[in-house]
This record gives sequence, structure tokens and C-alpha cells, in this order.
Amino acid sequence: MITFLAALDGVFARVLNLLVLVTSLVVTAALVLLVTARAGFDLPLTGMHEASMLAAMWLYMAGATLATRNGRHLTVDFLATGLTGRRARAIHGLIIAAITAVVAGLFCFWVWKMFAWGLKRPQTIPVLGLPLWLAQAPLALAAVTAVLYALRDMARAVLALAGRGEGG
Amino acid sequence: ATGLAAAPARAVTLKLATDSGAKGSDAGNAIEAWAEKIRAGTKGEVDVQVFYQNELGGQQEVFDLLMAGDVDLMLNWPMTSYDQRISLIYTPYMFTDWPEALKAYGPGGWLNAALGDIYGDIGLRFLGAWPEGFNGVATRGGHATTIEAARAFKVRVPPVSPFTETVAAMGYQTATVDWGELYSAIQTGVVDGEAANVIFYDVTYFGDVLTDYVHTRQQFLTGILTANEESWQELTPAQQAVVAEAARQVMVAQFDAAKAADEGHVASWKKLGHSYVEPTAEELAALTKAVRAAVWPGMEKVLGPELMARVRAQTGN
Amino acid sequence: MDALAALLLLLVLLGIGLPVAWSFAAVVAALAVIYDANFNTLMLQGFRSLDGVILLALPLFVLAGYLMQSGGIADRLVAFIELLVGRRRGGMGSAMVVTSGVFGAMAGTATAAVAAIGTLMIDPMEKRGYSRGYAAALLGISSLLGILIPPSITMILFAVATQQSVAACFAASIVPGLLLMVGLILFNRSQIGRHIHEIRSDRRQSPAEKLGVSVRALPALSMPAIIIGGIYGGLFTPTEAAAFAVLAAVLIGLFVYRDMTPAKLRQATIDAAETTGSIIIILLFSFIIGRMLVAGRVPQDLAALVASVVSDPVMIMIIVNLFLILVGALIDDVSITVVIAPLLLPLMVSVDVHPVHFAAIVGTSVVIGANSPPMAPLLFMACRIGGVSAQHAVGPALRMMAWVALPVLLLTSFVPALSLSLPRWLGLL
Ligand code: NA
Ligand code: NA
Ligand SMILES: O=P([O-])([O-])[O-]
Repeated sequence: MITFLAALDGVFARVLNLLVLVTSLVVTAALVLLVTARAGFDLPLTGMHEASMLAAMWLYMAGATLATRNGRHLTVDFLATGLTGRRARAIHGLIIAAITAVVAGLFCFWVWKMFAWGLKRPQTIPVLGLPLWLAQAPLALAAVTAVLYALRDMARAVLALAGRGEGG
Repeated sequence: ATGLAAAPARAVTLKLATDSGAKGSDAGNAIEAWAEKIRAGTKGEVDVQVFYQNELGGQQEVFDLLMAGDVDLMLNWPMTSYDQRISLIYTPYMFTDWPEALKAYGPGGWLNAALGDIYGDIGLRFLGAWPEGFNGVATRGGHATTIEAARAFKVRVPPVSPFTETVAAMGYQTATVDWGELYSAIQTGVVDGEAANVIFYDVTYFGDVLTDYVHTRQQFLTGILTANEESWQELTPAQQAVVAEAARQVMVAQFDAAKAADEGHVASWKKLGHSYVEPTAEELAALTKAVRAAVWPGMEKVLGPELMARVRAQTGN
Repeated sequence: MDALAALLLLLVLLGIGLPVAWSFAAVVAALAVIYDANFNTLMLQGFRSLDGVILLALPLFVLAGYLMQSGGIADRLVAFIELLVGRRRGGMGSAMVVTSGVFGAMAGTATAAVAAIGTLMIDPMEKRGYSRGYAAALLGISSLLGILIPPSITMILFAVATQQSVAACFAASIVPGLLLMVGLILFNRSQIGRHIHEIRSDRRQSPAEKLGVSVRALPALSMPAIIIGGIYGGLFTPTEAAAFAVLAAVLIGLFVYRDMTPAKLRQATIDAAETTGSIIIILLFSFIIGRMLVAGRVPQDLAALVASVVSDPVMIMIIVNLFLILVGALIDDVSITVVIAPLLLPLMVSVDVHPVHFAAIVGTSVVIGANSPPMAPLLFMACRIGGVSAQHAVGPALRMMAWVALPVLLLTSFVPALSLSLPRWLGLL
């Protein structure tokens, strides 16, 4: 089971990396093209801001998901570094992961409500004419993965408490 | 229903916002007046909380709040993200003088009716227009009154159809620049000006970097007095009548005041030593002809054939 | 009072070590209950606040920073800066402050400066004996030179919200910005031997070596030249400049220094995305908190309260300063600029403070606000980029604010000439 989840997580990380590379390219290239066309050829390229922002939203949230996965969110950690015992640290980790799971669950709820309302009052991205949910979907990515990785961290803490290693 | 109607009216608080106008501005004063008339008309039964520009977020955010009923009443500059047909209001060269514009937007006017239907479809109630005037092209270091001469200028347009198409048809090179970066973009010469606004915005924000304003009158810009339909339904019929009548009074007052205010802004512009140019009748006719030919066919796709037929019928085309 | 309870919750959650992003999310949850939020628009508002053109400068300058590091630009630049000032007392600290000032003249935001300079300079400063927490704090505060030295998105927002001339507001904050710069350099020097055990480089370089270092730095130094030249030459806006910084960093790394490889390019992009993501998720929830507090009229009621109690001009100025600092600790700089400042403006004008003078006051107060916990986005961001936990940076940051930023704020407040002379001289008032 753990092996399977770990493999799944590895595949997911590759997908995220790919997403980040492609969106970074689009965010940059759209603006470079816009300026080059405007300054060099007196051409107004429409839709470049919109394309850049759409890609940026995916970049932001894919990046946030990577930070969640790798445990690299900014933290005020003087309590955690003050805890020396293995058991105390595991309990602390369990509590933090549990609170994170609850808060991330609320994040999911808010995102879900945003989509539900968007179904009732659909919007389009100006100029591109694409549905707005394409730009909002990355928020769901960040929210759902925050819950899943919080559960992972809870499981790790429980395993540590039970005296075993990091698990998968 | 009788039971509800007979029940004594509950105390209600409505949230009223504008997306363009700080406290003390014309738009700010307008929503304050609207609020006061509602309070007075309902004898305090309906209270109104007023929120000025940016207090609840950016333009799109506040419009979202109105759509969701978090804001109940609003004086807003129309956003097209929920319904492209709202860009009806931006159809270029439907008219170029005040009397025609006011007739179209006034009570019983054809645009008033058409916008009422569109707003109704997205869950809003259209309560009237709050006109600002005709827009133009503001540039620095010279200006153009013909399509040929305009090619020398690169101007910023909002990234909303049909602004880009319209200004391009007028001969200008168009450019996309975010509003927040526009001032420094003009200052450094990324663009030579902007081509979407009534002169008020140019005299207020760009008076020290722009020098020429040509009143090309491609669009008649107006704010809209509107209510969220669900909030509206929660009012008693008597309260609804007071809110609607108060909106009508604010609209009528602005119809009287807007032209004078616009002329005042022109005077301030001239006082800065800047040049203000009215195109001649022939120049205006040439612009009108070219822009209608270039932009109106595209508008038909956005508005639908029925609405576009109404535009053509009402403007004699 | 309810808002105070939410604040207490934030402090507790941060204190027990819940990540900042999730602590803010928890406060959103608490405020949603207190203010009976409409969940149809709660996250939509957060989404809108991220979905803007000007914010694009953030991921792009973060990426440019990582690329400058892995493409060899950082090495050459740091070698050059060390050559210039590294042997002086407090040299690396001064270099960070000056670089922030120069960068401020290229960028309209402070975040961009943190991103670009943090990735370049925190490691070398640690090698010179500065603690990472101190370096992050110095960066967090000097990055605010980006909003005091034009172009400045903060000043544009203020001018738009209060209907003042943008150019006048730009000019008003230049002198306070220079004061902050000088103050930070002096403070940094004063810390040598006390909190900083500086490791001076003792090796003298030969003239040939110096020339080599300088020549090798030329392509790296062309980066700011490209950005500044492009912006002031009218080629692109500050946001668009960020995209060209990325492009230039890739090209210089690949073809001039040839330190860049496809693998490094890939890794730098992924690392940059992770950094950007962890900042953005904090921004997301802090924007929502700001919106809820304002909709709940918390700052507005506080301003009204002040006006009803005091009328002495000096007292009002002191109270406005305190208020800006306190509210600045709680909400983000954008909300301060576009929401709080316009609300306080009538109060200021009533005691004969010129609006453009007030622009400079707001700008200098944001220097403190954006680095005061609990809501200290610039300090947190500097820590994130410096790879140091926030508690190591809070102490140094508070000292810098007490000894430098606060005096600059007070000077700016009580000596109107500091902010008004330049706009007057330029004929903008
Ligand atoms: Na700046
Ligand atoms: Na703060
Ligand atoms: O205010 P704008 O519509 O010109 O961005």
C-alpha cells in the first residue's frame, strides 16, 4: 500500500515539474512577445496578458503544491526546534498535520463553493474567451493536495510514534 | 403573500458601493445622495452602508460581490465577464451628441430598455444610467484628427472588446498596458497616450504627462445604477418603490450635471496649458463611417443579430 | 473585539508552528464565522487578487533570481561587489542595502527586490559572518526602498485612491528613501563587532585580478542596465521588465558565462516555482483577511474613533503614525495604501498635512508595517528565500525598525520639507 502511494506520489511530482516548466515558459514568453511586437513591429498582440495570467495561476498553485509536498511552507518554528525528544516531536508533528488537514479541508470547501457559484453564474476570461474555471481550477489542485499531504504527514507522525521509521 | 405584505416592514440594511469614485468625487457624492434619499424615503426603515472605490476591492471584485448579493446596490461601470452582451454599451459611434445619448439612456429610452433585459438575465435589476460623457483620445506631444495622422500614435486601450477594435479603426496603434502601470508607461514613452476615457480621468491622473485631448466621441460612457435581484426581492414593494425613485432622481440630477461637469474638466485641462481639440464635422463623419464599417460586424457576433438589429434601427443604419 | 480574537488565534497558531499560510487560512475561517461571510465569493475574491498583471512581476523576478544564481551571474556580481566594498567595515551589508536601492529604481514592488537580491546575496553574507536571520531582516527592510524610490506601485495606488498626482507622490518619497538607505548602512556598520562578527577578506587582489573581476562582471551588470534602460527608455513597463530579466538571465547564463545547463535551467525553474507558490498561498489568504476586515469596517471604525477623541495636530500625527504601524502589523501593504490611507487622509488634511506629504508618510510607514509580525509579508518572504526561520529574523528586524525605519517615519512626518521640497522643485505641486 505504502509502496503504491509512494510510486503515485513520484508520478505526481513529475507531472507538477512538467506543469511548472511549461507555465513558466508561457508566463515569460507571452510578455516578451507582447513587448517585442509592440516595440519592434508596432503590432498590438492581444491576449498576451491574459495568457500570461492564466499560465501564472497554474504556476502559482503547482508551486504551492510542490511546497506542500516537500514540507517547505514558511513556518515560525521556534517551538518545533525547542522540542528535543523524538516522541515530543512526533506528537507535535501529528498535531500540526491534523490542524493543517482541517484547515486545508476548509480551503477545499471554499474552492468548491466558488465552483458551485461559477456554475450558476459562469464567466469568461476576457479576450481569450475561455471559461473562467480554467484559471480557477489550480486552486482546487492546491487545496485537495494540501489535505492529502496533511494526511500523509499524520500517518508519518503516527508511524514515528509507533516507533517505526518514516514509512513510504 | 398577503401575510407577508401585511406584516410590519423589518429594518433592513443595504450595502451600496461604487467601483469608480472615492469619497467626495462626483460618483462618491452620487451614491451618498442615493443612500440619503433611501433613508429619508423609508423614514430610516432601510439603512444604507456606503462603500467607495477600492474599499471592497477592485472593479471586478466589487462586481462579483454585487452578483452574489454581498453588495445590494451599486453604481458600477459595466463589466462584461458575466455577459458579453453588456458590451452593447461600448458599441462605438451609436451617437455623438448629448441629446441623443440622453434620450437613449433616459427612462423609456431604447438602450435603457435593452440593458434592462440584459441585466435581468444575469440576476441584476437595472435602475438607471449615470452618464459621464463622450470619451476621446489623450496623447502627448501632438495629436491626430484623421485616421492617417493617427498612425503616428501608440495608445493604450483597455483589454475589452470593442475598445481595441474601435481605436485601431480610428487609425491608432493600440497597446495593452495594465491601468496600474499606465502612468509610468506614458511617462517613459512605452505608449504615447490612452484612448478610452472621458477627459476627467486624463485631467485627474495624467494631467502632468499628457498634453493633447481630441474629443473623438467614439463611445458614450456611463455608470449604471443597479440592484442585485435577490436583494431587491427581499424589500417590500413600498421599499422597492423608494429605492427605484431615489435612483431615478440621482439619474436625472446627473443628466443635468454631467455635461456641465465634463465641460468643467475640459476647462481644467485647458488651464494646465494643454490643447483640447474638437474634430470638425467632416472629420467626425469620416471616423464614424470607418469605425462603424470596421467594428459593427464584429459586434454582431457578441451581441447577437437581434440586439445588433436594434442598434442599427435606432441609429438609422 | 471579534477581530482581536481572530488576531489572537493567528498568534497562537503561528506560535505552535502551523505554517504561515495555513495559519492565515484558519483566520479566514474564524473571520468567516464572525462576519457571516458569503462563501460564494470568499475564494473568488482571493482568486481575483492573484489574477492581476502587476503580480506577474513576482514569479518572474523570483525566477530571474534563481537563474542568475545557477547561470553564474550571481557569482560574478558578488565578486565585483566584494571588490568594491567587501573590504570596508560592514561591506556586505552596505552592498545589500545599496543593491536594494538600485534595484528599487528598476522595480515597482518590494517583493521583486527580495526575490532577486535574496537569492543573490544571503549566502555570501553568511560567509562573511552575518547570521542568516540578520541578512533576511536587512533584506526585508531595505527591499522597501523599492516602493520609496520610483517607479513605485504603492505610490501609484495611493495617488489613484486619493486622486493625487502620481509624479508628485513619486517625488515625495525619494528623500525619505535615501534617508532609509543611509540609515540602514550606518546601522549595519554599528552592528559590526556587536551582533555581527564580520569575517573580512584579508587577501589583497592584484590590479590584474581586479580588472579581471570587473570585466567578468560586465555581462552581469548589464542586467540592471537592461532593466533600467528598458524601463526609462520606454521599451517596457516594470512588470514586462521582469520577463526580460528572465530572458536575459537565461541567455547570459547559456551563451556568455556558459555555466547554465539544461538540467540547471530545469532545476532553477522548479525551485523558483516552489518559492513563488509558498509566497502566493500566503498572499492569497492575507488578501482575503484584508478584504473581510475592511468589509467588517474594522479599520474604518478605528479611524473614526481617533478623530472623535483627539484634535491637537501633533497628537493626531502621532496617533496616525501609531495607527499606521499597528494596522500595518495586521494587514498587507496594498490594503493599507488603498484602503486605510484614504480613510485617514481627511483627518490629516484637517490638520493641514498636504496629501502628497501624507503619501510619503504612508510609504515610510509601510516599511515598518510590511516587516512587523504577525502580518510581515516582506520579512517572511525574505526568510523563505534566505532559508531561515522567521524567529531568527524578527529580533534584528525590530532593531532595524526601532533605530532606522521609525526615525525615518518620524522625520518624514514632522519635517514636511523632506517630502514636499522635491515635488515643489520639479514643479509638481
Ligand atoms: Na521603485
Ligand atoms: Na505587518
Ligand atoms: O479603467 P480602464 O477601464 O481604462 O482600465
